[in-house]
Amino acid sequence: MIDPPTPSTGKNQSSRTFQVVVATLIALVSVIGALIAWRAAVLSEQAANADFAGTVTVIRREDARTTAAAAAYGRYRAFTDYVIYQTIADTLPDDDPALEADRAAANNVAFNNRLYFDVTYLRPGNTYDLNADIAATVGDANLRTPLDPVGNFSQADATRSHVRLLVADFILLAAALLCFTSAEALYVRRYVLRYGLLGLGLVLMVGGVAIAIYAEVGL
Amino acid sequence: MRWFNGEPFERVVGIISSVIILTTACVAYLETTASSAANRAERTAQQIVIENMGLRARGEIDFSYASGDALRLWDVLDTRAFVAEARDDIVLADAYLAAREAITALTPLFQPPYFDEADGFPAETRYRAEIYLVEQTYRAEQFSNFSNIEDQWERKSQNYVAQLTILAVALFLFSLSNTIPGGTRWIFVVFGGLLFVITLGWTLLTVQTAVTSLPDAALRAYAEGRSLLVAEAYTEATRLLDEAIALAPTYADAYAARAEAHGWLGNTEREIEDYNQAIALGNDSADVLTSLSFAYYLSDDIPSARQTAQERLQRPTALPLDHFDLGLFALVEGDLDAALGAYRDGVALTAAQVDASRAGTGGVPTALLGQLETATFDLRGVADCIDFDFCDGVPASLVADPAVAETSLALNGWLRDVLLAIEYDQPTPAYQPDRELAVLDFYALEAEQPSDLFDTNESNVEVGEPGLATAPGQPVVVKALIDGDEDFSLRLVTDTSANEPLVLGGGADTIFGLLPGEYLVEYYLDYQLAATGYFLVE
Repeated sequence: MIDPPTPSTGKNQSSRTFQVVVATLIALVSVIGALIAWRAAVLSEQAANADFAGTVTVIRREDARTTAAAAAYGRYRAFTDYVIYQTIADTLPDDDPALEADRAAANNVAFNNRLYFDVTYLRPGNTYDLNADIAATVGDANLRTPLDPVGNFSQADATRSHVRLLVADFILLAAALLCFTSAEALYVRRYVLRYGLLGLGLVLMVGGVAIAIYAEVGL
Repeated sequence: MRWFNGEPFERVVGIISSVIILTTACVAYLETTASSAANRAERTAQQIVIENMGLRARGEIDFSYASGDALRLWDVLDTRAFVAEARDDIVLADAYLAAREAITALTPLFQPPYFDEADGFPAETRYRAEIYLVEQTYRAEQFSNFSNIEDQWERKSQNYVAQLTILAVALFLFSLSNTIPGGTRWIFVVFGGLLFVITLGWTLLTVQTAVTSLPDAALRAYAEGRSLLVAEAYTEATRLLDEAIALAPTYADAYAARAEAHGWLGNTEREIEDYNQAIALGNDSADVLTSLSFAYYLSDDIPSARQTAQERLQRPTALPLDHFDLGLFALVEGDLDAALGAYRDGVALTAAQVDASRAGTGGVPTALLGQLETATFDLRGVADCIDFDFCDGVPASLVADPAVAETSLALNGWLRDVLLAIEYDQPTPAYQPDRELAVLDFYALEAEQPSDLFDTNESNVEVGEPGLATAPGQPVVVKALIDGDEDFSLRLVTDTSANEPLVLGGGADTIFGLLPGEYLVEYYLDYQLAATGYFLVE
């Protein structure tokens, strides 16, 4: 097989310039890819940390709710005794001297039990707002440490989306690399194909960089 | 026509390498997506399991108040009112009744549907089921579902990582081929190309593998059905479990739960069918095997029962009850040596588990005591079938040999001793095949003649002296089992030096009559079963 004639010296110079430019672009794409990989790794770690923080918040919330319920039911037991003795005191007829001691005892035990529950949760009809009692204790705990894990989990999800976007960006950069490698490999007279591939590679690389900047700044 | 600058081989290899890099980028993206989904599923599963612990703890706090405080106080006030009324103190009785009524407003346990005025007592198990068991079971199923989803995504992610590694090897081979002159380089090209093509195919397969999960409605139906099982509403439970299975035909846990419901309803054939279906779908848990072997026993398929029990015993989590069941199956076939061997293994395992538990947590799991109770109940059933022709829950193919009945009773006595030894921290007793038990007599208070029939107005029954040779200070324990279950309020713990009559009941002042049923009374001397007796309360 006979090779086609070698292009002129000027064309040789142009070809060398082309190859240098393409080699530089290949190196640039590789460096950008490495930077994106580094960012993706850092963000993955941040997402894992946010997940962990969310899980810790869930544990704290359950602890706060359970502790609040245990404490509130302790007070509710005192309220139960209060209801029993108050009802007995109210039911015993007050015109019977023989029952006076029983009535007084019941009345005093009932009154004494008021010390052991929070009267702010007493409601009409001799009822006790147990849920309000529990909610107030949980509210106190929430003031000390936030108990809603949604923020942490949302942050973890958003960071993972960010990572996915950066990894997807790799595809563009790899496609750019393929274009540059092919452009460099092609025979110098394949002008249209070489420059076409170079242009496409450039578009892909610039697109990849734009997406990376958007991911870093926009998200 | 010329296509490449310089050496075409090098150029083509360069392009192929770039294609591999592009493919690697795509696989890396798929891996990130899979690993992200796995992380999210794992996080959700963790969140559910933590929330479920809180839910259970709060549910138990609520239930403990309702049944341990409100109900107990309600009962105390009811008793006080009853006693006051019996003494014609109507004013005090009214005060107690008013206080009792005031308690009913403090917890839903005293409201419909949990409280039935006609019945007079609240349905505690149903209340417990509805306040948190349904939700807890639902979340536990969600946890399994998310764990399963996480496993599937994790498998995908691991596959992608393996594919990335192979692609890196392929890339390396192509790069090497450029450094080696002559025909040898083609070996690297061919091998690298082969790896690339195979990996590409594997990647496509991995992408196409669907991540499956159970529909949420099926989980909800299962949770409600499971909780109804706990509340002993078996027919309703079956309906909901049917629904869960219709929504998710591969839901193994739903089949196992429905099998349990069928078992309680006495549909043994359906029970076996569902347990086998659960096993076929992947739930071959220890509980399923234990229940299946007993279902085979009840359906008179003793060989299958023995085989399933043997399978169950291969598991590291074998329970004493599994050994006792295997012994029972051998016993009804008349295989007395095998039966005794299995019961010995069961007792040895019980003793080992008790020791381990005492060394670990300091206490004895009540489940172990329950297993001994169950085993003795089954043994008494076998003996009753042979001796009295009362064969409820005993397979028809039972070898009605008196030796089988004798062995059943001897084993029953041994297990009762083991049970008492555990309760009172005594050494494990040995098997005594030829033990003779004295027979107990029973008397109404102040009566001189014994009786084996009392009416429900009777508040106390005195246990007659069994006429055993005793020394002063020997411990005595008396247990009363009503229709097979011990009534713990009647247990007596004393010693031979206490010169007091053994009275089952609350004493002379008690106004409550004994519960109706068949009473089996066991008299233990020195922590060994020494005498038994029966009486009826009607």
